[in-house]
Amino acid sequence: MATAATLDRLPPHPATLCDVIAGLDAHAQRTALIDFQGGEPARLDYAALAERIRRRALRLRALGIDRRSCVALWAPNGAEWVISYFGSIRAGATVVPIDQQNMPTTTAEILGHAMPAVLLTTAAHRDELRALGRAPKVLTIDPGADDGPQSEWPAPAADAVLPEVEPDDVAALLYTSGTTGKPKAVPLTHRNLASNAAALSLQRLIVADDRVLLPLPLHHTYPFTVGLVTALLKGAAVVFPAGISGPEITGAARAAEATALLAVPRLCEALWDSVRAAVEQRGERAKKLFYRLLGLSIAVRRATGARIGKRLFKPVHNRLGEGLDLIGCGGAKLDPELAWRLEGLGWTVLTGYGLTETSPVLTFNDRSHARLGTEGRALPGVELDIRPVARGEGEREPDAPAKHGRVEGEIVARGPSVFAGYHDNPEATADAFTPDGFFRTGDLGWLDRRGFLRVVGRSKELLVLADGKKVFPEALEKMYAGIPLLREVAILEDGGRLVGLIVPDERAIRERGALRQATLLREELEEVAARLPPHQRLTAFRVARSSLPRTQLGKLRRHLLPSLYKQAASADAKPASEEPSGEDATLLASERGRAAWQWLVARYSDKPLSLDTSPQLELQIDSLEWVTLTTEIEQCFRVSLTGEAVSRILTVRDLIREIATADVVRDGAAPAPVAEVRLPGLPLRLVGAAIFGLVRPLMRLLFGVKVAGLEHLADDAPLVIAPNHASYLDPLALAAALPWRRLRRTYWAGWVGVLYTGPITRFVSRATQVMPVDPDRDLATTIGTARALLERGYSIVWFPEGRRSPTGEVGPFYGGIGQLLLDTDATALPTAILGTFEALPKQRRWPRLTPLGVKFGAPLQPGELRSEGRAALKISGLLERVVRALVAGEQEAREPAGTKRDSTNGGERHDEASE
Amino acid sequence: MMKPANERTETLKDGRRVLVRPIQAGDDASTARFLDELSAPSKHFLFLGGISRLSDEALRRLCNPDYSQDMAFVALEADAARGAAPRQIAVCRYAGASSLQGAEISVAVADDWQHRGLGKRLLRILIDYARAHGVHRLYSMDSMANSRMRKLARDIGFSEQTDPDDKSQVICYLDLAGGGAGDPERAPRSPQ
Repeated sequence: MATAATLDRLPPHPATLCDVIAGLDAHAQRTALIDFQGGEPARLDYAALAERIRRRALRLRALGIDRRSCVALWAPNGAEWVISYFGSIRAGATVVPIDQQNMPTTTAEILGHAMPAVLLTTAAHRDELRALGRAPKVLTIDPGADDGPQSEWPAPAADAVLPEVEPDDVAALLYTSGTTGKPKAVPLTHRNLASNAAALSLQRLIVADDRVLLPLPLHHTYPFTVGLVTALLKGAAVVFPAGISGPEITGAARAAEATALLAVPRLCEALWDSVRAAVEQRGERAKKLFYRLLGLSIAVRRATGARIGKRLFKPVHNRLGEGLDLIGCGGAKLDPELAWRLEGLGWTVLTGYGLTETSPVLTFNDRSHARLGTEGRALPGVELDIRPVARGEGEREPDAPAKHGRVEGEIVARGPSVFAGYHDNPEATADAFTPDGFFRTGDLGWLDRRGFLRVVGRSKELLVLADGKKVFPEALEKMYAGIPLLREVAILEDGGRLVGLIVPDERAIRERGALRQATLLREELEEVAARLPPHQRLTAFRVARSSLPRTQLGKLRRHLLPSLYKQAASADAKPASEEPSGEDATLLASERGRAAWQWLVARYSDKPLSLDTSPQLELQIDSLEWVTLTTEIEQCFRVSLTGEAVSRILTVRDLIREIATADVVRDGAAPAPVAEVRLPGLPLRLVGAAIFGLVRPLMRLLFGVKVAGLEHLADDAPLVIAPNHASYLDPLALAAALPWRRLRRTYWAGWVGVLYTGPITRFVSRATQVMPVDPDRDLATTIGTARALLERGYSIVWFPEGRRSPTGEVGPFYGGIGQLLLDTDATALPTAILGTFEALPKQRRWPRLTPLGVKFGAPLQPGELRSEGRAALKISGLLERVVRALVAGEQEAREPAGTKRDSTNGGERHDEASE
Repeated sequence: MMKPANERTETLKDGRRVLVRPIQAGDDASTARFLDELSAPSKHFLFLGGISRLSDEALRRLCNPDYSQDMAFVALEADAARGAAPRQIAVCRYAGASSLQGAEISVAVADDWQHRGLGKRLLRILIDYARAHGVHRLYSMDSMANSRMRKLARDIGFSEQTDPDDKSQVICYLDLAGGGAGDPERAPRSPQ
């Protein structure tokens, strides 16, 4: 690789990051950073940046920071991050940049290991980081935090001397996850980082006039080295969008006139998806034209190298700005098809490969010699090799695969940007290097004749997702394996996303009652997911019919999972021609059995059925659907399936057996759901009054319950009150908010599993008018009871989410309340309960004394409830939207706009992870 | 094939004693408990992925081997308290003796009994049994990261190759038919 002088002005081969900092002044008035974080773009030029870095370094010196210190940095992308990082470097310290998405326990572990002298963060997070107790000093870096009377920063020492650093000093300590889940510490020296940035700048990816849009978090070496340091070396500008949402990125790109975008495959997919969505909206003809033009553009690009997409697809380029020309993609493998499409649209797509341990870039396609579908050639100074995978003392495999004359093996690398070993972990370090000092990447690939690298797989059990995040499936499986309803769970990757293949534990499910199998499973999985950082959560799961593919001794054959996963979706049942067993044959030969089977096949004609099909998981029959189904069964077969019978049904076989063996109901004697309501006698009512008489003032005293919307409860008409549910405090807050008269004539739908477990709970529940509800048995009885109560003028409180939300956000409403409202013609009262999640979320044992609020919304009459359809699910859906809006409206009023919801507080519910 | 009756007491490096015998039908409860009590990493190396518990059927199969094809030896605490059922602390098994690639073999030791040479002992007992009963080859599938198992296998004389189906795993194998001295410690000593 040539290292001849280049046309751009470049400090001669910076040996340390301090040399990079020293070179900033040379770019003087050029814009260095454009920061959209605060709403309005804030520009900082190179001279100002250099000065602020110097001042930050001097303040850190005044705190006692020197070459032996670590400074931890936990903050979002932006000018302040950059200034704090380089300020710490200039002060001679080692920086520990921390991923904000880490769970607090992980952050605490990292801090405990690195032992920083000071932790730098923003004011919004200072208190919670201080509470971790792992750093002697926690200081804030928001604009203006250094100066001013409130500042905890010391004044910069006037005559302080900033130290000289050596190339082999550790500049940064980065943490990556390990197999056992314990993070490994990767020390990168000045030489590692500076040499990588210098080599990259020789590739002429960026020139001085570029403006690089950087939406990726800077604690990763990839955006840090490739996006930030390389740009600073060249005197280019770096643009930080306000966030990682589509509009924020496109807005920043246009406003700042970005010329380059640093992305991960996930972002490229999102870009393509939004273009495609816009096209689909234009109709069939526009769509056909678009794809034809795209095909043409790609063909021209392939044949001649010319990119005509810029001109053909002007509207697309208007969204991100005409000036955007280059998309750099790393972190994970980019699907070549996608790369070609983006090139067809007119962008230059350049991919590369590397790891944290290599600072990070090992190979990168440069503009003049790019080959799509490869990761490019080795950077100047990087030695690459392909080694056979078996590690038996350097011996080759007996039959090394030589497909098409190419040699595949493990990619290993050596060079100034490759680290020297993990900090404090001799075992992992020994494993990571070959005897002759090459670093083992753990990835498999091959080099073609011209030296272009292709990565084909991994030699370690590691999944790399489409957003560049790495996951060890084994570590995750351990977490999910704790769920009692699952017998087996395997984590794999499907299209770059994390998915799970599960085998439910039939016995455990039978014991719980099989009615809500799918819901229960989903709830349990979400429960585990809430405790994990966003990128480790499953985006989907499928159920495997039988055990996962294993050897005779039970060892999992992981390589068979992907095809099994695909099959599980289409629920490819056993072929119909399979011989039924003796018992099954008898069952199907009986008159009712045969009729039942034929009825089922006709009813579920769009799904492949077998006797082993699970009604709950494969036919999606939930508790609501059982009500409809049992009614139909009664009409067709004149048999009545009790709730008990239904809860025993795990397979179609069970269902047919129940139908075939149930007693036939005599004609004309179809039983109506009997609703027995034992209203409490006077003594019990007095106890109830006493309990509420105590609870209400206590709640008001401790939590100050603010109530609004009482005008909707003015008269005595019975209502079905439907609040959101995030905490055990909800019913107590509601009891404190309801007017006394209404409260005494209200019944609370309570889950038997919690409220009717022992003699004391039963007593208290009956005294306080709790209506027992068992979601795993049949719904019809519950609705009957509710109807009886409403007819007697009682109101009912029903929490439609079914369980406490693990994240505080309003979860989906189950169909039960919709069916209830449909059958009883009752009026619904949407209600928002606020503050209870902050006071006592699922995870806490003792509540925080924070203010609570209850807002009653306008009642919804039966006509309004059915405005979207006379179906239980439609009604539930409508109600859910109303309650959501009510909650959101109240939250806006409580929190001033601009304070964003913290994504570290238990994590946010993601339908698709927004990275 | 008759169920072998041999039962023996072995003394380990640290003086503790274990009882080694073939697995019996009544062992399913203690086997279930043994597997349950394995630490997560040990369980993962044994099953190579996400399993919480075995189904009753799988457990029954494990404890009732078809002696023409399979065999399993369990190790129990020899010095258990009188009257208490001795705890199962290790198991070593093979299955599928007559298949072309040989019998698959696996060994697992309870975490508090590891590092005492118990795995190696059991493995040797099983290999002797296999050889005596005409098994021609033994192989084990292991995670690349299970360096202890790989070293154990190498010490006994197994060869190693990468699993062609799954590059993150290795296959350790031993040909028994040759009757060769695969195990260096078992090689006949030359007279001094």
